[in-house]
Amino acid sequence: MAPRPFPWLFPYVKERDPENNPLGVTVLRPLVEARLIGPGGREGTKVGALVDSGSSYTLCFDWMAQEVGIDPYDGPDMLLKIAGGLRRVFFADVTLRLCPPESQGSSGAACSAADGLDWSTPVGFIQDWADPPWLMVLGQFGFLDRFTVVMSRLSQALAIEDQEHFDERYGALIPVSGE
Amino acid sequence: MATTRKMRPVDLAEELRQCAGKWVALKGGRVVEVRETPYALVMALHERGIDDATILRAPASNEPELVGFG
Repeated sequence: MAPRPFPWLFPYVKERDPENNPLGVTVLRPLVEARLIGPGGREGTKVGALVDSGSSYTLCFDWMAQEVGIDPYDGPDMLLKIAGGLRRVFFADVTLRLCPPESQGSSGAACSAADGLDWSTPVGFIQDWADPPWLMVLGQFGFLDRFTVVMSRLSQALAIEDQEHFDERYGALIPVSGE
Repeated sequence: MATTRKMRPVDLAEELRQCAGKWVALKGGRVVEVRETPYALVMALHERGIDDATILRAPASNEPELVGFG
């Protein structure tokens, strides 16, 4: 069995009702499910992963690396300001698996090697953060450079397309550079 | 003017509100385990043999909404 063809369409996830919001806004998140894959195909726990176009990097909480037998602390590191605080982040080349949209429902999609979508990329592991709001953030480097992602708050949905989809759809509008 | 079709969101608001401030494991949109930390939650799932749940943090009831993570 191969992963289903693109597009993969994910509904937004409702986190908070609008009752206590002064603007009456329902908090909807572009949240997908993903997991880390370790050496030998060891599967990490499925986590809710926030698609965040404002994050330069794809980031995970550091125990997720340990769960699948990856030591991120030998890799390059940097300080990043994340959610208002300075955090030390260690980068390692890892495999991530995007779970198919069906895994969000009760249909029982497994997010296995057969139905999930695997790719390898450097991921930043955030050190010593006691209570992160999300365990995985899919950002520009490591996710949005691998897929074309279209988000619509109006439609309350997120579509993931092949990496080349943006160029096929909009490439003719992009001015040719002199390089 | 055409009406934009809206996808029905995965509604976790009530499930998360009932576990405010905790880490939750969800399966089919329902909470199957709750713990104070993600470590404890994963351990509890392993002990119960649950390997197809998804884990998330439920925001605390008085916690300001987070905008801008990266």
